[in-house]
Amino acid sequence: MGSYVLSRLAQAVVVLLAVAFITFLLLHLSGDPALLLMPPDATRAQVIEFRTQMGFDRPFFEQFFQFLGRILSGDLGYSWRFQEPVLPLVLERLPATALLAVTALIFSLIIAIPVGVISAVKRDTPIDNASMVLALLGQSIPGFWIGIMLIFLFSVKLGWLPTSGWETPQSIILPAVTLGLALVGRNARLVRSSMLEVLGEDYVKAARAKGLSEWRVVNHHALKNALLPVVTVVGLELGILLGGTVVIEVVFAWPGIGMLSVQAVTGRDYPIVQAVILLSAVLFTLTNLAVDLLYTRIDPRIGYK
Amino acid sequence: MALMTDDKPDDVALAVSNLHTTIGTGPGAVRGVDGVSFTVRRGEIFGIAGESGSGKSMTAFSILRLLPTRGRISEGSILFKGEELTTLSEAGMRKLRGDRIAMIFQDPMTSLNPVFTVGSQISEAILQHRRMSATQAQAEAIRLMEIVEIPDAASRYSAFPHQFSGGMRQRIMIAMALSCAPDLLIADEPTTALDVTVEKQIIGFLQKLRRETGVAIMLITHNLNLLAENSDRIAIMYAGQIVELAPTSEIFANPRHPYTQALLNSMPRGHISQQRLVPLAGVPPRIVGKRSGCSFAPRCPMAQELCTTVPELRDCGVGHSARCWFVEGSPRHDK
Ligand SMILES: Nc1ncnc2c1ncn2[C@@H]1O[C@H](COP(=O)(O)OP(=O)(O)OP(=O)(O)O)[C@@H](O)[C@H]1O
Ligand code: SF4
Ligand SMILES: [Mg+2]
Repeated sequence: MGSYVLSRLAQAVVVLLAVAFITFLLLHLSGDPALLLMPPDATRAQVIEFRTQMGFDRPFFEQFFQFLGRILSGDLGYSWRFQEPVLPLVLERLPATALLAVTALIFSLIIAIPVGVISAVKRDTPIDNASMVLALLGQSIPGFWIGIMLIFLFSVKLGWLPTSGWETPQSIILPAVTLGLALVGRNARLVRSSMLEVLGEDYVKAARAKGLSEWRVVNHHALKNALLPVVTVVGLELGILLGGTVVIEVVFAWPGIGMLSVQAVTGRDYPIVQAVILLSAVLFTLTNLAVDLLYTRIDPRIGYK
Repeated sequence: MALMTDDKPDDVALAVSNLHTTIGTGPGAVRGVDGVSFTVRRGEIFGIAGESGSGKSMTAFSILRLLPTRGRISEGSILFKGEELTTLSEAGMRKLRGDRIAMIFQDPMTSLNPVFTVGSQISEAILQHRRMSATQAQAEAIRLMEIVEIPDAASRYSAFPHQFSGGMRQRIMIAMALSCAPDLLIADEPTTALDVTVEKQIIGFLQKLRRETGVAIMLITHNLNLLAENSDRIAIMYAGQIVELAPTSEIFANPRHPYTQALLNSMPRGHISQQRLVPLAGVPPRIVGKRSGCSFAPRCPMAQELCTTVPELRDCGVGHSARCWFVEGSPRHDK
């Protein structure tokens, strides 16, 4: 058990090192990292000074270790546009993105789990077929279109919800629903297929042979097993969402990491872009680590294999 | 192995008659169980043997009414302690399952839920059918684990299935089956997945159980050696039908059906429980639609013109019947 946790931690460290190295390579891909990190109107003298100051004239690997040292000490560079160090700038946007991601995921699961379970239990009935067609549809309609339609209906026509921003608590409803709907389809299909597999297991037959009600067989014996693969996928989804959901954040003017990256890219603010890449990778790795560790609590077999 | 010929109604735990179970509907429906009749008496171990696909499990699951989604009982009657199960409500069936009719399965590695502790799975069975508090159920579960000789039962209560060996898991399945003192225990190949020493212990428990509680046991297996020593009567199944039914000693001393004879001739020496019964070249057919003649004919060394007509089960001794046209006149088919 302990050794499993240790090996997962070691894996995470290796992945993060690799991410740092790739980010570092990206910086050098353009040819001159100093130019990339300086504002476009910097003078030649300023660029040369910055280059020596950052050690960009040093050998490649020495530079990488300097880079590593800097990011480990939380120094992700300086945004000329915002006139601020980058890290606090990005971290400041994290809560909005995290709140949106978690709300959207919870919303998607509240719908996907019952739909997936009912579809599996009512396999090949009209209920199942209809749900799965809807799921496929939900998966294939672009999020921004759903978003715009929802804004049109609930904000413009009915005036129930704000169109954008995050000033009031209701503001989160539309972006979260939009983002969540995009996930409902995939998650419902996953729950269904996982549930179908589990319902064919011997222990489900054995549970029925004990005289348990079908409700208990499905929702106690089968569901807990069926949700194991779902936990992994939801962990991945959360990891991806934490990196910022560009389209949804832009459509709803949601002040998260996605919005910030768009501003950074259009403003050629490379330090911010780099920080967002690093932070997303770190969050993704940590989320997966957390899910794997959570797994040891919910699947007793893990760690004994 | 007492031979009881005059069934007093009280003695009959289970009476299955003319049971037909099909999978699917219409012309493509598979006749998994096709006109099966037998009785199991109190305190009896009734063996059912036959090749893979002969309908043994389907018979068992028909009794519990736990058929696959497309399966259904299309004809026949199942009387359990005088109560008709084929027409009983689902709620009524649920009351019987795990309480008065218990089942243990072939693969103890997969028949326990991996994400719950073994103890909670036993307690669950107890709580389902008895008025008990959770603490009482836990104590009772530990007592049952002790009965099936699980060492250190109290501390193993909260262990998970993967922490037990196959034999130990099967004991837990038995403990679960015992939890409500059933009248009928269906054991569907309970030892096929286990090695020979463990098989002996498990069968030993079943023997002890029926001696002490008078439970009727349906023992389904591929292993005729196992039935030779541990059953009172045997039904041999082939393609969804019983082709021979007789007291155990009679089956071994005087097998009448060519299929039974082939099975006995092919019996491995010693106990090889994992051995599947493959007595003859070929495989048993899957019956879809009407039967044309004796289902065994394609593999039968004695098949003749007459065998293109479907044979009926015929009595050929005390409590002995066989489904073959030549039962009366046929000499024992020995090598
Ligand atoms: N879920 C199912 N769907 C379709 N056909 C099935 C299903 N289960 C069993 N059958 C068919 O029903 C027939 C009887 O199967 P059954 O499982 O009762 O055989 P068995 O005697 O228990 O065999 P085994 O020794 O392999 O357990 C076979 O023809 C089989 O192919
Ligand atoms: S009826 Fe014919 S084919 Fe069938 S078992 Fe008897 S001899 Fe063989
Ligand atoms: Mg079977």
